[in-house]
Amino acid sequence: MRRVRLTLLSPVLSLLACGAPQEPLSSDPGEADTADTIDSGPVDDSLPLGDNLVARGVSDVEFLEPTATAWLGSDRVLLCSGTNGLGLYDVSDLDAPSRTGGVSLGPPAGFRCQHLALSGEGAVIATHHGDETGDGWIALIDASDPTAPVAVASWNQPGVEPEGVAFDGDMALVAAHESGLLRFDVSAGALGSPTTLADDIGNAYSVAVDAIGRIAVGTVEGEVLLLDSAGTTLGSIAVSGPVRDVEWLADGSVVAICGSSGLDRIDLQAGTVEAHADVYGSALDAVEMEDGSIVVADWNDLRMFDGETLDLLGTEAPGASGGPAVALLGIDRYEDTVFVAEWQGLRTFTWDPMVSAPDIRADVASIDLGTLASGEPAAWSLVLRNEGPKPLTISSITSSDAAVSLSASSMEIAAGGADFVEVAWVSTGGTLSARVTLRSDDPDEPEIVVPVDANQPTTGVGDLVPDFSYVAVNGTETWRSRDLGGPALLTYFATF
Amino acid sequence: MYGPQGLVVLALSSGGMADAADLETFIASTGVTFPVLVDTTNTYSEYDNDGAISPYPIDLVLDADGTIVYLSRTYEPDALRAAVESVLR
Repeated sequence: MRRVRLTLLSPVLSLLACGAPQEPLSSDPGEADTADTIDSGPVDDSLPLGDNLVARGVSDVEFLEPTATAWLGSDRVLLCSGTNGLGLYDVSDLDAPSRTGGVSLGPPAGFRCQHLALSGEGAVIATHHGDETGDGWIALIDASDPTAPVAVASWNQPGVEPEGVAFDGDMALVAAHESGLLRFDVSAGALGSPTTLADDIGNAYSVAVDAIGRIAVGTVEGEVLLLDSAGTTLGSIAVSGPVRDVEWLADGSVVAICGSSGLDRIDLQAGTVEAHADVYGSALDAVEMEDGSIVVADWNDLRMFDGETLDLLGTEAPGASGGPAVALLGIDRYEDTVFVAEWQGLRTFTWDPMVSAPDIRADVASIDLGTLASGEPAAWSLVLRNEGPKPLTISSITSSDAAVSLSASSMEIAAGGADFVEVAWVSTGGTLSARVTLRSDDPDEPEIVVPVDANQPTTGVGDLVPDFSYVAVNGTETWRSRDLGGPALLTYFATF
Repeated sequence: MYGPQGLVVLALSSGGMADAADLETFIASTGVTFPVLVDTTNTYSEYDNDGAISPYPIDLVLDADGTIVYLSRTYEPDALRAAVESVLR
């Protein structure tokens, strides 16, 4: 989300405007009245809450033990329940997600839904386990109408324990423990008989397919394997523990989510572990956000990690504002909205990556060194502030005019801190129209430009207004000074 | 209140078009009804400033010929009102 910081706004504009106060986001209503009856494990309160994941709402407590969630489109989210099949939720109001129905799947009583995957064509595949038997059940759902998904096919076989699922085009891939990796052709809206792609890879636990068809399979034994689309194993790497979930990242690496053993970022092609992070509870599912960070459902809280280093960015205990959180098991996202399958139902969050980013601010929008005689020096200290909660790196400070000297070419500014760069010029007697450009890791303003002028002809009372040509904000209208047609009040302002 | 007497009111943003989305958000939040324009040619820098920094805002009153009759970098409502009324006579 981009923010507008308005400073030094003309009082004229302020007086003529009527600003509407911003309504705060509603707090999580919290529906945790049954939490103390659930063995939810410890809560880690030693870390600050993450600021950039804002709790929005939670559904009614009516749908226990959900393990996965999937955004269908049209403001509908499917929730996979351990005990109650599939629930359909309306999330058009993120502050109050509500269950609008479900999908009848047909597995026998006692089967528990484990995982969900959604294809680009609107097909959903869901896996189930029998509580005692270890048998599995797979259901295919037509969700091309997100408001009314229907089950269209099912498949089961004694002794097969389906777990993680993923789509590769019209092919559904199912990690099925000792049975290996099963592939179903769902192009005809049916499941048919699967092909076994790999049955010698240990206990397949999770699976993911990237945009070019590479298959990553996580195993109970703590390995991640790279397979081609024919199921040939191209490589493998040991990770920290049983791989509950595996996700391809946008940069081509893979993150393995290993329950209480934490998570590993791995380069499957090179066979290297690039980074590791511990977790507090048990990491079961994860999503990569648009800025590359990774949000993990870690049982009692959500954990946010830097996608490259796996450094912990923050935590969010969703129940903090409305009771304890319990059993965060599955997570999915659509754009900046995150959906979490919690023991008690569906929780919604809004992601704001800017909240935890560095935030550069120059104390002036431009510098006028005034009128100077030839040979006369002038300097101005350009104060730079970091108004964000993370350190700011200004990687380059340059001038468009080599005659303008700068006291620094880069700098680091701590969160909430300030520093300055001296901008100096020795007058040649002529005019100066230079631009100082600062590039930084502020994601909102990666580049700011400060004009530096001297010896400029000036306009004041009694002069004709400079001939200007202004463009309306909507970009469709141009105003010229000669077209004003009468007396005028002009107010210059700036937003920063 | 001076509109019926022919006064044109314009707000001029000196931030360029790069942040047009931010600007539109800001305008929507203020509810202003007069035109808000973007100074794409940096005419802001042409006004008398006595050196050093260039603080915002600048309030200008122009007569019907486009001559500047009032220029201030501080908000002085009485002086501003007097200047406006002088060009409407």
